[in-house]
Amino acid sequence: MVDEPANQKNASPQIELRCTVDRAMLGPLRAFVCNVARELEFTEKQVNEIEICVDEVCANCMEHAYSKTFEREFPNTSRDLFMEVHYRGDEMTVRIIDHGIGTDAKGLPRIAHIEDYLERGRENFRGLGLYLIRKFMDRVDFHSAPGKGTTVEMTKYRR
Amino acid sequence: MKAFNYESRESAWNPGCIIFLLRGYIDAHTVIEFEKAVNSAIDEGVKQVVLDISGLSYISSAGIGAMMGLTRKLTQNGGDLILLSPTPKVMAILEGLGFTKIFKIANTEEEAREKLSDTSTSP
Repeated sequence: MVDEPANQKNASPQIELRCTVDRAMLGPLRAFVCNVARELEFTEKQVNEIEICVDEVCANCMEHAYSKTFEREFPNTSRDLFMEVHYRGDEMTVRIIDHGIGTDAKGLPRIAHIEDYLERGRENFRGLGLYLIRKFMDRVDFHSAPGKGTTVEMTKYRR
Repeated sequence: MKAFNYESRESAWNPGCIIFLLRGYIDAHTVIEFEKAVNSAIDEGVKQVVLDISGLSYISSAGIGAMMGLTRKLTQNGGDLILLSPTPKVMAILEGLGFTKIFKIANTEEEAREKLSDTSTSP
């Protein structure tokens, strides 16, 4: 038997997806991730929580990652969204990656309580997505830098 | 299934109250059509809105935010917005985020009517 390459020996099973940045793709992306989570025997409540978190991150990417400024500054860069789903044991991790404009994480709204959201709502009712992700996922890592794109990694444990 | 569609009708108890029957899902893609439909009714003078969401299979933060904005617009003009018959899935999302304490939610049209008349009789 041929040995697996060293870098794959401990790798968790993984599915990768490349998607056009178009909000009409949100429905198919949700359907995909829900099917994977059901296949991994997450409860329906957990499937619904994974679904909305993935939707929020993808929608945010589609709205902000590839702005007109980005197009002007990086005309030859691909404008796609990448999704990776890893699973091992009782955990499922979804990683959503774009190679877009990126952001300074310090500028992101920090909504810790629903009251903060209502307070922000005096201007507009936005920023709920990040609150929701932190509430529904067990672990969230966010990496972004101006001009270098954004990666959001979210993990849910099966209970 | 179409991603999102709706029907609207005047309520039997108050011609100034419009009931929207929403079907499909409201996400960052379909929210524009939803907001446009309800906003155009409000711009025509409607003050009371019931959103029958029994046919709504999914709602994202974009949809919740739109409903919050519409509620604020209506209440500022002495009106109100009621969510009618959420599915267990949508209800779980609203509950999980604490929005069941913020939105007025009714299980039947009769209950929606009562909640709206509470608003119109309050000082």
